[in-house]
Amino acid sequence: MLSIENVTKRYGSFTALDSVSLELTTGVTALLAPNGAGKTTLIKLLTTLLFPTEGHILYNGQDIRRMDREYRDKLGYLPQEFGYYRSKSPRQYLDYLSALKGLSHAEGRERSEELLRLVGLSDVEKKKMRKFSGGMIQRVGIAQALLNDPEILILDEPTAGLDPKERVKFRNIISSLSRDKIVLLSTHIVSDIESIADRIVLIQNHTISHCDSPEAICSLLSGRVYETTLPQREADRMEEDDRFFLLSRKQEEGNVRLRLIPQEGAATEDFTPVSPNLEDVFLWLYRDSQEAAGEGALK
Amino acid sequence: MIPIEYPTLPETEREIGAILSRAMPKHSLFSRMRELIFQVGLRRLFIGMGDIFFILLFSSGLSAYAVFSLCDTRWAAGTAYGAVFLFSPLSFSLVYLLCILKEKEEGSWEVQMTCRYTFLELFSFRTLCFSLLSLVLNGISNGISSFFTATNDFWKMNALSACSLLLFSVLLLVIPSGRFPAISVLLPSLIWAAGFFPYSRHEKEWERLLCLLPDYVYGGLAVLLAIVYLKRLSTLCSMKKRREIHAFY
Repeated sequence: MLSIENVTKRYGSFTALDSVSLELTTGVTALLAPNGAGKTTLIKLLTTLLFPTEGHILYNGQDIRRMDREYRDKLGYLPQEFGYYRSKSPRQYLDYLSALKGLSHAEGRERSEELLRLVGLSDVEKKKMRKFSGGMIQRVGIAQALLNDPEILILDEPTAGLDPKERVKFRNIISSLSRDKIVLLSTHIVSDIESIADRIVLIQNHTISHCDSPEAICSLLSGRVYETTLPQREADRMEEDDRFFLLSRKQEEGNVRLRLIPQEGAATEDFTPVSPNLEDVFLWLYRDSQEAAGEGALK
Repeated sequence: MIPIEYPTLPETEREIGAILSRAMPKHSLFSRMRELIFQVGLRRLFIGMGDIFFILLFSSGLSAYAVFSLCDTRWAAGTAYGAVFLFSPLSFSLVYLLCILKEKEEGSWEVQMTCRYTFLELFSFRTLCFSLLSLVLNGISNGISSFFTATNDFWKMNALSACSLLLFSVLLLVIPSGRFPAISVLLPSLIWAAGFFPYSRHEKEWERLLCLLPDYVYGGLAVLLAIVYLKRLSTLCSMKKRREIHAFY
């Protein structure tokens, strides 16, 4: 178990994370928040790239900083901006990283082959990475994170640059791995989280505001999300109306289908209630950071 | 009956963890470097560094030529100890800066920082190797210079060279770079370059002073600086002791 105990991270007078406490166990935990909320800071604290100003991060009761190598042996990390050696092939790059991760030459070779096959890059394993597309590079990144068969897998925007088919494949890989691993996934792609996350962590005002299952998170807006189909002009008027918070807008056979949250007191007779999804909750909670700070929990 | 407070499971686990971490083997710089050589291998430790070795040789040759030219009798003192002191770190500083720039361009230091053998351990190893190589190359150029000029003592030149290189290396490691590691190279380089001005204005006085001080003073200083240098490298390799690295550019 990875325990984050009252962790605060400050840079001078700026607080990036404020008294964050969280316990991560096996399964997929998704980190959902807009840019600048503190997701990457939290990830860097867990990967020992940064150290907490206050608080502790413990793995099975031991401070991860004290554990040093022993902790890194259990860690697999894919950063948001994944750097790679352009003049090397994925095979050479994985071979290099497997040595850095402490694998023997034979183990590293076997593992690299297996992972390149898993991410669908075995036919280009000897090609120089400068010729790769963004999606292919990302797949190399996912493969390197799994090299040492880590107990803790931390992925920062792992599906960036992947096409829908690759994203589905990635989700399947993560789902199968999460049975016996702690997986922390940070992403803006809500559909990735909805299908594989066991738990979702929402960060607001540099602290954790919600931590629960996807169903429980979605139920925060239970009974509040509606859809309606209107002609173009009426749809435009409704968009300007402060009584309604617009979630999405879709053209449908000359009309416009709106998905919205009416404010308290607004008429909803002509609207159809729908089940809220994670994207609705994300858009609503982060609609305005100051309003959200004032609201705290949803009314 | 006196109630006994038993620790909870998390408290027990925490105490066990604390005892274990204190009992865990401590890695010295020497053991880390040795492990790197045997586990990672020299070929991988210097992956993509062929051009840097070439630059090291080339710049060492250039600085050797500069020192050799200055060993000419155009100076009244006939010695070039000052030049040796100023030029010795030149090739090493160039190589060090290139290593940082290369890593900035490649940008895989974050991934490498989360491996068993971190990027900082690799960087420390490479720095150590390059400084040893620079010492050897400086020694060769000092040998050639002292052979062709009777007034320059080989041992003094080497002692000065070692002092200078180690002083520069220590400056590179102790100057806090914060978010910009390149500052740790640029600042000492500027300080060093600024040293040329007082030297060039008072050459004779500097040469006289450098000649006066016995070799063992330079030798002792070099040993002291080597200890500080190795201690700094050791701190860089230890997660418990080092500062956090925000970025590597």
